Amino acid sequence: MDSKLIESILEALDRTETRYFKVENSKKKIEIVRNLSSESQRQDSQLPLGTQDAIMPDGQSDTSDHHDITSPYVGFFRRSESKEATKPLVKLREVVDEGKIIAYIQSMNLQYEVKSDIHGKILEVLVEDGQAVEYDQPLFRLKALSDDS
Amino acid sequence: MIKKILIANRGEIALRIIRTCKELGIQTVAVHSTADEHSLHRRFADEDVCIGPADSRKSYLHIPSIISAAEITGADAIHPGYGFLAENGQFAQICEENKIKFIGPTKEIIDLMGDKAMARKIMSDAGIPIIPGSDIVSNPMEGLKTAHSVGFPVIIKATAGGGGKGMRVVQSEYEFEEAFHLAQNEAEKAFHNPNVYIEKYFGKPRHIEIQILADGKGNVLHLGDRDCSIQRKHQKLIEESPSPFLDDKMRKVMGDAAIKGAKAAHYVGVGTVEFLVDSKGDFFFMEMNTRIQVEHPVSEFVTGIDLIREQIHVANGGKLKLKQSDVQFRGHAIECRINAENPFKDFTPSAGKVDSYHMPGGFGVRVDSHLYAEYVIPPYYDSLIAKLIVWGEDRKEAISKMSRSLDEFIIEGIHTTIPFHQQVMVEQGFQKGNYSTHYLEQFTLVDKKVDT
Repeated sequence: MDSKLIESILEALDRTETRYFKVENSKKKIEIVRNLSSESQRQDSQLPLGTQDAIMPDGQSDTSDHHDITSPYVGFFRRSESKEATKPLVKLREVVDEGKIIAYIQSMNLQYEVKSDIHGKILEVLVEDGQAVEYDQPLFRLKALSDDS
Repeated sequence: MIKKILIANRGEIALRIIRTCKELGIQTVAVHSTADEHSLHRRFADEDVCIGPADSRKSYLHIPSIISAAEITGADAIHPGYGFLAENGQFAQICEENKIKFIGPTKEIIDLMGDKAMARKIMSDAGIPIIPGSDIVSNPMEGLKTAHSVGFPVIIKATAGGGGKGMRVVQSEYEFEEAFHLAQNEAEKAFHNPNVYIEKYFGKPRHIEIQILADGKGNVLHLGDRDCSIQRKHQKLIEESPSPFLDDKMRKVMGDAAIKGAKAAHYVGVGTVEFLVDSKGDFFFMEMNTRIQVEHPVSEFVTGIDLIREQIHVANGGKLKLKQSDVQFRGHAIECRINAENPFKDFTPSAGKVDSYHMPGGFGVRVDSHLYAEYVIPPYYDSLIAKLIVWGEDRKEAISKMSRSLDEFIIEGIHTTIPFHQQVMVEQGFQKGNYSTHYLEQFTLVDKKVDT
């Protein structure tokens, strides 16, 4: 599987609200289903067959090393430094260290940091930029990486 | 006009407020901690927002989270209920700064009445009798002088205190100095404010309070009295209206005094003026509560006025539609606070799962509760799980109705104070209306359940 290709597709999709994406030729088939709903409980979202490959370019389908980062506050979710800045603090697929600021929660003109509490790779951003979030709502899904990776 | 109210509270009072909002066609937002994920206020509100973890300091008491929840849901008003942020002047101010209507009085009034010494001064200046005593006393010598002038026994109280905390009774001058220092230290530790004052201590007083309703446009009504003398460690357990101790003349004098006090404080909204009444029938101002109170349903029963509705009406800038002469008192109401506590084991808290639940019903019976079968009572918050309120043509009928309603009230899986209330309802002193705030000291709970 061409993981580079998939990564670029995912990054492109991340800028849109596309929920379903499928491309196929005689050799390969890529199918991507994205859950963009604000529902906080996503653990039970059923992904159709063929998605696992797309979401995890490494080809792993084991989800035991998946880790959700939840909101530490009530407020608006911000992926970038400020309302004006457009560059997100972290991109999909990016590997982040423990303690890295990966988003902000904005509330009453104050910005609260959202830090990664593990060393891992960003698999999914579960809410949209600017969306209102509750305390404890999952924001990012990460794949935990061992320290030497 | 208020369109959407966020209720910054939990439990029965959150539900109570949601109910009236629904009747008025006002949208509601429930906020909850992670420990209250399965609570009814969340289920019955139009929207709900999780604002923090179980620890109330990080959820129900965390002002930024509550304001933020109002912001993201577009709520234009906040009802604080009782407890938590209900009497936090700073919170009222922050709401106003964020263009959210705080359903309650202003920061200035809350702070004024929250400072016990200031409140005493305002009431005293308005001609309302206050308990003989002092302003803030900084040293034991000065305190002792007051103690002698009002006569022992005296009570040393923290100005920042309340709900029974930061108080010390002193019987004689020999104990005074030590007690004074202890009280100051306790006040400093509990409230970060060492200020204390001295008051005359009454042996067998009654706690009788007057419900006030004011629109901030010069109209102040009283909605009768509530006798809340049945207490345990300064926590009210049973309230009734009218008080069996007051005659019509005293009732009118106290009602007028409360109105005078509320006017002097430029009060707005619902409030309660608490009086201590001694065995001779003399009454003294204790404090004014600037919130809706737990026991408000007894006043609703005898007056037929929905106090939450009036609170919202006044918050909307509305003028009171009633005059004092329109307020008609009818019959007698009693409330029993049902707590998740084991009355046979010194009222120790009893959190856990409610295995089965059955509410009493019938004419003149009201249950304000957030319980349901299989609900798990979290250990983090107040132990109040239900209020059972009954109305009867007279006190005798109300007591009889309360007894049979308690018998019908089934809450299994946890311990509750229902057996305690069952025994009080058949006790002679209570039935005669002969009790003081020390009632429980003489009351012996029989260690068996009354047959249900």
